[in-house]
Amino acid sequence: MQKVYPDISDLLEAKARRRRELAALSWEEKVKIIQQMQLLLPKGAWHVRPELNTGWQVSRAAVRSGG
Amino acid sequence: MEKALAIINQLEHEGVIGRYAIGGAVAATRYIEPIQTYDLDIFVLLPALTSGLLTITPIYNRLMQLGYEPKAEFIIIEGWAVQFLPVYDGLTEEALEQAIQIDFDSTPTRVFMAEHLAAIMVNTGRPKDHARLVQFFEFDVVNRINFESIIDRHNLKAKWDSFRKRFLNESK
Repeated sequence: MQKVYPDISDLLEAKARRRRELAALSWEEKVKIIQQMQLLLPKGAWHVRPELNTGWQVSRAAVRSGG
Repeated sequence: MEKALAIINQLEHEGVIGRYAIGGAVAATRYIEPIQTYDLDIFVLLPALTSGLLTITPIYNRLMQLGYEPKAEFIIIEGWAVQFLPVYDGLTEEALEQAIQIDFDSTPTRVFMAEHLAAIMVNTGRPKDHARLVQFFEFDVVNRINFESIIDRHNLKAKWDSFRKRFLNESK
Protein backbone atom coordinates (compact mmCIF):
# COMPACT_ATOMS: atom_id res chain seq x y z
CA MET A 1 0.00 0.00 0.00
CA GLN A 2 1.38 3.38 -1.00
CA LYS A 3 2.07 5.85 1.81
CA VAL A 4 0.21 9.14 1.59
CA TYR A 5 2.01 12.25 2.81
CA PRO A 6 0.34 15.54 3.69
CA ASP A 7 0.64 18.48 1.33
CA ILE A 8 2.60 21.17 3.16
CA SER A 9 2.92 23.58 0.24
CA ASP A 10 0.69 26.14 2.01
CA LEU A 11 2.95 25.98 5.09
CA LEU A 12 6.04 26.51 2.96
CA GLU A 13 4.40 29.40 1.15
CA ALA A 14 3.47 30.99 4.49
CA LYS A 15 7.08 30.69 5.66
CA ALA A 16 8.34 32.24 2.43
CA ARG A 17 5.82 35.06 2.75
CA ARG A 18 6.90 35.69 6.36
CA ARG A 19 10.56 35.89 5.25
CA ARG A 20 9.66 38.40 2.54
CA GLU A 21 7.75 40.48 5.10
CA LEU A 22 10.72 40.45 7.48
CA ALA A 23 13.11 41.46 4.70
CA ALA A 24 10.82 44.36 3.76
CA LEU A 25 10.87 45.89 7.26
CA SER A 26 12.88 49.03 7.87
CA TRP A 27 16.48 48.62 8.99
CA GLU A 28 15.57 50.07 12.38
CA GLU A 29 12.80 47.51 12.84
CA LYS A 30 15.11 44.68 11.79
CA VAL A 31 17.79 45.80 14.26
CA LYS A 32 15.14 45.75 17.01
CA ILE A 33 14.47 42.10 16.09
CA ILE A 34 18.21 41.38 16.32
CA GLN A 35 18.25 42.96 19.79
CA GLN A 36 15.29 40.79 20.83
CA MET A 37 17.20 37.72 19.61
CA GLN A 38 20.24 38.84 21.64
CA LEU A 39 18.06 39.05 24.77
CA LEU A 40 16.49 35.65 24.15
CA LEU A 41 19.88 34.01 23.77
CA PRO A 42 22.76 36.09 25.14
CA LYS A 43 26.16 35.54 23.55
CA GLY A 44 27.78 32.31 24.74
CA ALA A 45 24.72 31.34 26.78
CA TRP A 46 23.62 28.34 24.76
CA HIS A 47 25.78 25.93 26.77
CA VAL A 48 24.74 27.17 30.23
CA ARG A 49 20.97 26.94 29.88
CA PRO A 50 19.97 24.74 32.84
CA GLU A 51 17.21 22.86 31.02
CA LEU A 52 19.70 21.76 28.37
CA ASN A 53 22.19 20.61 30.99
CA THR A 54 19.48 18.64 32.77
CA GLY A 55 18.45 16.93 29.57
CA TRP A 56 22.04 16.06 28.80
CA GLN A 57 22.59 14.62 32.29
CA VAL A 58 19.39 12.59 32.08
CA SER A 59 20.30 11.16 28.71
CA ARG A 60 23.84 10.35 29.89
CA ALA A 61 22.40 8.63 32.99
CA ALA A 62 20.01 6.68 30.82
CA VAL A 63 22.86 5.54 28.57
CA ARG A 64 24.96 4.47 31.57
CA SER A 65 22.07 2.48 33.03
CA GLY A 66 21.28 0.98 29.69
CA GLY A 67 17.80 2.53 29.76
CA MET B 1 22.07 50.86 18.37
CA GLU B 2 21.41 54.55 17.83
CA LYS B 3 23.28 55.47 21.03
CA ALA B 4 26.29 53.38 20.00
CA LEU B 5 26.33 55.11 16.60
CA ALA B 6 26.22 58.51 18.29
CA ILE B 7 29.35 57.60 20.26
CA ILE B 8 31.09 56.38 17.09
CA ASN B 9 30.13 59.64 15.37
CA GLN B 10 31.68 61.49 18.30
CA LEU B 11 34.96 59.58 17.74
CA GLU B 12 34.89 60.61 14.09
CA HIS B 13 34.25 64.27 14.94
CA GLU B 14 37.10 64.22 17.45
CA GLY B 15 39.46 62.75 14.83
CA VAL B 16 40.06 59.57 16.83
CA ILE B 17 38.89 57.63 13.78
CA GLY B 18 38.65 58.64 10.15
CA ARG B 19 35.69 57.85 7.94
CA TYR B 20 33.75 54.80 9.12
CA ALA B 21 30.91 52.59 7.87
CA ILE B 22 28.90 49.67 9.19
CA GLY B 23 29.66 46.30 7.59
CA GLY B 24 29.09 42.68 8.59
CA ALA B 25 25.81 41.12 9.66
CA VAL B 26 24.16 44.33 10.90
CA ALA B 27 24.78 45.94 7.52
CA ALA B 28 23.55 42.81 5.71
CA THR B 29 20.34 43.01 7.73
CA ARG B 30 19.55 46.31 6.00
CA TYR B 31 19.07 44.30 2.79
CA ILE B 32 17.76 40.89 3.87
CA GLU B 33 15.82 39.36 6.78
CA PRO B 34 17.20 39.89 10.31
CA ILE B 35 20.26 37.78 11.18
CA GLN B 36 21.22 36.47 14.63
CA THR B 37 24.33 38.47 15.51
CA TYR B 38 25.95 39.96 18.58
CA ASP B 39 28.52 42.19 16.92
CA LEU B 40 28.50 45.57 15.28
CA ASP B 41 31.35 45.64 12.75
CA ILE B 42 32.69 49.12 12.12
CA PHE B 43 35.08 49.42 9.18
CA VAL B 44 37.28 52.41 9.68
CA LEU B 45 40.10 54.47 8.29
CA LEU B 46 42.65 54.99 11.02
CA PRO B 47 44.62 58.22 11.31
CA ALA B 48 48.33 57.36 10.99
CA LEU B 49 50.46 58.01 14.06
CA THR B 50 53.57 60.17 13.66
CA SER B 51 55.53 56.91 13.52
CA GLY B 52 53.48 55.94 10.45
CA LEU B 53 51.92 53.01 12.31
CA LEU B 54 48.19 52.33 12.20
CA THR B 55 46.74 51.15 15.48
CA ILE B 56 43.33 50.91 17.12
CA THR B 57 44.78 51.60 20.58
CA PRO B 58 43.74 55.32 20.55
CA ILE B 59 40.14 54.24 19.86
CA TYR B 60 40.14 51.93 22.87
CA ASN B 61 41.82 54.56 25.04
CA ARG B 62 39.23 57.20 24.17
CA LEU B 63 36.31 54.80 24.64
CA MET B 64 37.62 53.73 28.04
CA GLN B 65 37.83 57.44 28.99
CA LEU B 66 34.15 57.61 28.06
CA GLY B 67 33.44 54.66 30.37
CA TYR B 68 33.17 51.78 27.90
CA GLU B 69 34.79 48.42 28.61
CA PRO B 70 36.83 46.29 26.22
CA LYS B 71 35.88 42.62 26.10
CA ALA B 72 38.11 40.29 24.06
CA GLU B 73 38.30 41.72 20.54
CA PHE B 74 35.28 43.97 21.12
CA ILE B 75 34.43 47.03 23.11
CA ILE B 76 30.95 47.23 24.58
CA ILE B 77 29.25 50.50 23.60
CA GLU B 78 25.70 51.05 24.81
CA GLY B 79 25.02 47.32 24.88
CA TRP B 80 26.58 46.51 21.51
CA ALA B 81 29.78 44.50 21.10
CA VAL B 82 31.54 46.80 18.66
CA GLN B 83 34.53 45.64 16.66
CA PHE B 84 36.61 48.27 14.87
CA LEU B 85 38.13 46.80 11.73
CA PRO B 86 40.67 48.86 9.78
CA VAL B 87 40.09 48.51 6.04
CA TYR B 88 42.31 45.58 5.16
CA ASP B 89 42.34 45.41 1.36
CA GLY B 90 41.31 47.31 -1.75
CA LEU B 91 37.80 45.92 -1.62
CA THR B 92 37.03 47.05 1.94
CA GLU B 93 38.71 50.39 1.24
CA GLU B 94 36.44 50.94 -1.77
CA ALA B 95 33.40 49.76 0.21
CA LEU B 96 34.17 52.38 2.84
CA GLU B 97 34.74 55.14 0.26
CA GLN B 98 31.41 54.39 -1.44
CA ALA B 99 29.35 53.61 1.68
CA ILE B 100 25.84 55.03 1.77
CA GLN B 101 25.17 57.98 4.06
CA ILE B 102 21.88 57.38 5.88
CA ASP B 103 20.09 58.11 9.13
CA PHE B 104 19.48 55.33 11.63
CA ASP B 105 16.41 56.70 13.38
CA SER B 106 17.67 60.28 13.70
CA THR B 107 21.40 59.55 13.92
CA PRO B 108 23.49 59.89 10.77
CA THR B 109 25.72 56.98 9.86
CA ARG B 110 27.11 55.07 6.88
CA VAL B 111 26.54 51.52 5.71
CA PHE B 112 28.18 49.43 3.02
CA MET B 113 26.29 49.08 -0.27
CA ALA B 114 24.71 45.68 -0.92
CA GLU B 115 27.07 45.10 -3.87
CA HIS B 116 30.18 45.60 -1.73
CA LEU B 117 28.81 43.43 1.08
CA ALA B 118 28.10 40.71 -1.48
CA ALA B 119 31.63 40.97 -2.94
CA ILE B 120 33.15 40.79 0.56
CA MET B 121 31.09 37.65 1.23
CA VAL B 122 32.28 36.12 -2.05
CA ASN B 123 35.85 36.85 -1.00
CA THR B 124 35.51 35.63 2.60
CA GLY B 125 33.64 32.51 1.56
CA ARG B 126 32.71 31.02 4.93
CA PRO B 127 29.54 28.89 5.04
CA LYS B 128 27.63 31.71 6.77
CA ASP B 129 28.77 34.13 4.04
CA HIS B 130 27.46 31.77 1.37
CA ALA B 131 24.12 31.43 3.20
CA ARG B 132 23.72 35.22 3.42
CA LEU B 133 24.87 35.72 -0.14
CA VAL B 134 22.16 33.37 -1.39
CA GLN B 135 19.63 35.57 0.41
CA PHE B 136 21.04 38.71 -1.25
CA PHE B 137 20.16 37.18 -4.61
CA GLU B 138 16.93 35.60 -3.39
CA PHE B 139 15.67 39.01 -2.24
CA ASP B 140 17.09 40.63 -5.38
CA VAL B 141 18.93 43.43 -3.59
CA VAL B 142 22.11 43.31 -5.70
CA ASN B 143 22.57 45.31 -8.88
CA ARG B 144 24.32 42.64 -10.97
CA ILE B 145 26.12 45.11 -13.26
CA ASN B 146 27.62 47.09 -10.38
CA PHE B 147 28.36 43.93 -8.45
CA GLU B 148 30.16 42.17 -11.30
CA SER B 149 32.16 45.31 -11.94
CA ILE B 150 33.36 45.17 -8.32
CA ILE B 151 34.09 41.45 -8.72
CA ASP B 152 36.24 42.17 -11.79
CA ARG B 153 38.06 45.10 -10.19
CA HIS B 154 39.09 43.04 -7.19
CA ASN B 155 39.99 39.81 -9.01
CA LEU B 156 37.20 37.74 -7.48
CA LYS B 157 35.87 36.22 -10.70
CA ALA B 158 37.00 32.67 -9.96
CA LYS B 159 35.38 32.70 -6.52
CA TRP B 160 32.20 34.30 -7.88
CA ASP B 161 31.94 31.78 -10.75
CA SER B 162 32.36 28.93 -8.30
CA PHE B 163 29.67 30.35 -5.99
CA ARG B 164 27.08 31.11 -8.64
CA LYS B 165 27.44 27.72 -10.31
CA ARG B 166 27.14 25.93 -6.99
CA PHE B 167 24.46 27.98 -5.24
CA LEU B 168 22.58 29.94 -7.92
CA ASN B 169 22.46 27.14 -10.50
CA GLU B 170 23.98 29.42 -13.13
CA SER B 171 25.97 27.46 -15.66
CA LYS B 172 27.31 30.32 -17.81
